[in-house]
Amino acid sequence: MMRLQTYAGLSLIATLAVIYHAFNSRGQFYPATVYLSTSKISLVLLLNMGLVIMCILWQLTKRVFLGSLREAEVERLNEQSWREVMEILFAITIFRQDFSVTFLAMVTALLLIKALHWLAQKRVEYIETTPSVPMLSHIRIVSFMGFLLLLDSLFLYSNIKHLLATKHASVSLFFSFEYMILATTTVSTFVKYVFYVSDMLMEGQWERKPVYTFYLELIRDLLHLSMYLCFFLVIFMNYGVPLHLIRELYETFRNFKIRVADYIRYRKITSNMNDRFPDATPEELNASDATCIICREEMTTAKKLICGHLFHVHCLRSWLERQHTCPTCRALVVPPENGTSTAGGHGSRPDVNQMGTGTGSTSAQGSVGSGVAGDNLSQHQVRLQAAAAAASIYEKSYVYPSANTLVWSPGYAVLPKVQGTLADSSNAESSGEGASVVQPQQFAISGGPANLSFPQFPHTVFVPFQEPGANVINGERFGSDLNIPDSQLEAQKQFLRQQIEVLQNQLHTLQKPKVEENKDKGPSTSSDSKGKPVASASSSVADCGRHGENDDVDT
Amino acid sequence: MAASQASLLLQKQLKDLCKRPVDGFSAGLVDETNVFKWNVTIMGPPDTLYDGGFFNASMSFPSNYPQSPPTVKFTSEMWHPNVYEDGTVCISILHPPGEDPNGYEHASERWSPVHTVESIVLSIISMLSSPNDESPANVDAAKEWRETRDEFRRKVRRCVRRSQEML
Repeated sequence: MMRLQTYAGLSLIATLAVIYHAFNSRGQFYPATVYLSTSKISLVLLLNMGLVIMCILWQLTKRVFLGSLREAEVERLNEQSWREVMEILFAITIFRQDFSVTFLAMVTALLLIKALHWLAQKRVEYIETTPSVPMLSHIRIVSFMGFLLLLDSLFLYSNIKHLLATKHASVSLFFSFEYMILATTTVSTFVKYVFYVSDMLMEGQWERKPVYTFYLELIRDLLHLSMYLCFFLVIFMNYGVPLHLIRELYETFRNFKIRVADYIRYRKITSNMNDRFPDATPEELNASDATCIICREEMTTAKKLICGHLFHVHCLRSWLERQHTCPTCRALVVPPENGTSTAGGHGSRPDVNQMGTGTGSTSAQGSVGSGVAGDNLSQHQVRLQAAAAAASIYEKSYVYPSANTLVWSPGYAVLPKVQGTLADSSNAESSGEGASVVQPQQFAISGGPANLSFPQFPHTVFVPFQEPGANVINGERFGSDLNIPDSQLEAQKQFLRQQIEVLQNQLHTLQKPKVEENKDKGPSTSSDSKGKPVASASSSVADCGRHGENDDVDT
Repeated sequence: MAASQASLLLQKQLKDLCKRPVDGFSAGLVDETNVFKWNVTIMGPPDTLYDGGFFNASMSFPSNYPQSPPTVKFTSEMWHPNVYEDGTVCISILHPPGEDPNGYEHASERWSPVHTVESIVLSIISMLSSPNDESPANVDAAKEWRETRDEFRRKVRRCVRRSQEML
C-alpha cells in the first residue's frame, strides 16, 4: 500500500512536471497538447499516470466493497493474475492490427475488473464458510456483485454496439466475449450466494440446496463451454488459432465432462434411491444406536446400503454426489456389474459393526479387503501373497521398529491376514520371542478395547477409543484363522521361515550398529502395546519388525 | 445466526469433546463465534520422538463438512515427513474424496464423512508416531528420517522444546 502511494505520488509529480514543461515552453494550449502527445517521454509519463489512476480506482473499489483482503484472497490474486497476464499477452498478439492506446487501456481495465471478480468469488466462498457474518458484509458483497454486474453489462453493451455499428470483426469481439463470461460468472456467484442466504434463513434445513447448487454449476459450465467454443470458432475464422483460449477451453471442457459424468452417475443412483436402497426396518434401527454417522443426528427413518450401514436419506444423497461408496466401510453402493465379490463379502456378515464410530470403520475395511481377496483367490494363494507382502514391508521397515508404511503398500488388501499368519507361525515356534508376537492376536480374540485392525488405515486407528462392538469381526476372523489345516500351516511356516532367514541376514549386515539400540527398544514397545495406544497403533509391520529384531537379539 | 448442517454437527462434536475429553489432545474454538475454526493442542505421543511436546494446530472446516475434509495446520514448529514446512498436515484421509490425481493413494484411503475432529486428531497422533516416508510432504524431513536419523531426532527434539517453552 505504501509502495503504491509513493509510486502514485512520483507519477503525479512527473506528470505535472511534464505538463508544466510543455505549457511553459510552448506557451499556447494547442502546441502544448501536440507536444505532449508526440514526445515519447511525455506520452510514457501520461500513460503511466493513467495506469496509476486505474490502480487507485481499483484499490478504492476494493476498499469500499471488500475492506482488507484475507491471505487466501491475496494468494489467489497473485496466482491467477500471472496466468491471466500471459493469456492477455497472447490475445494481444492475435489482435495486433488493432493495437492502440485505447486497446491497452481497455486491456488493463479488463484485467483489473477480472481481478475484482475473483475477489468477489473468493469472498462469497468465505462468507459461506463463516457462520456469523455481520450484516454489513452481506450488504457489501451484494452491492459489490451488483456493481460488477453493472460494469460487465456496460462494457458488454458498448462493445456490442461498436460491433454492430462497424459490422466487422475487431477487438471488440474479444472484449464483448470476455465481459459476457464475466457477467455469467457474476450471476452464478450471485445465485450461489442467494442459495446460501436462503439456506441460512431456513436454519440450515434446506435439503435440496446441494442439488440446486449442482444444477447451477452444471448450467454455468454448459454456458461457458458453448461461449468458449463459439468464440474460438469466430476467432479462428477471422484471425487464426486463438492461443490464449486453449487453456481455458480445455479446462472448461474437462470440468464439464467430469460434471456430466458425475451427474449421470448421480442421477442413476438418486433417481431410484427409494427403490435401490431399502428402508431400514424398525428392528434394524433399534439394533444399532439409530444415529446417522454422517450428521450424528438420530434417525427415525433410514436407508440401508447393501453393506448394511444405515444413513439419513439426505445425508446419503449429498455424499453420493461425491463418491459412490459407503461412508462407513467404503464398499461400493452399487455392486459392480460383473463380479459379486464385494457384495458377497459383505452379504455373508451383514449388520455386524453397524454404526461403528469413525475409527470403528477400519475394522470393517479390513474384513472387506480380506473378504474380497478370499473370494477371488484360494486360501493358500492369499497366504502366499500375504507372506510376500509382509516380507516386502518387513524389508522396507527394518530401519525402525514403529515404521508404518502400510497405507501405500500395494498388498494392503490382504494384510489383515498377515497378522494372523505371522502370529500363527510364531505360535508354533514356541519360544520367548514367539510369545511377544502372539500377544496381539490374543487381544483381538478377547475383543476388548484393544484392536488390531489397521490394514488400510493405520492413521485412523487409535486403539483404546474404539467401540467394543467393532471388534467382533476381528475376533471372528482371527478365530477362523486358527482352524486352518495343519498342512497348510506347515507349508506357510516353512515359507515364512525362509523369508525371515533371508531378511535376518540382510538385517545383520545392514544393521549391526543398530542392534544395541533396538535391544532396548524392542521389548519395551511390545510390552507397552497393551496400555499405550501409540505402540499398538503402530501396525502389524511394527510387529514384523520386532519379530525379526527379537530373533536377532536371541541368536 | 446461520445454523447449517455443518455448524450443527461441529457444535455437537465440540460439546461431546468438552463433556468427554479424549486423552492425547485438547480441542476448542479459535473464536467462540466461529465453529468452523478449531484449535487443537496435540500431546506428543509417548515413546516417540515427539514425546513431551505440546503442539498447537488449527483445523478449518469447509462449509460442506462432512462432505469435504477440513485442513489441519500446525501452528507450532513441526518437523515431520508428512507435514509441510508451513505446518499443513498431509495425510490421506484429509484429501478430498475420489481418486488421487497423482496415483499415490487409493480412493478408499481418502476422506469419508464419518470422520470427526476426534478421529482426525487421533490419525494425526498416529502419524506422529509412525511417519510415512513414501509420499512425503517435507522431503528434507523424510530424507533425514530415512538416512540421518540423529539429525532428524535433533530437529524433532528442538521442536518439542520450543513447544514446551511456548506453554
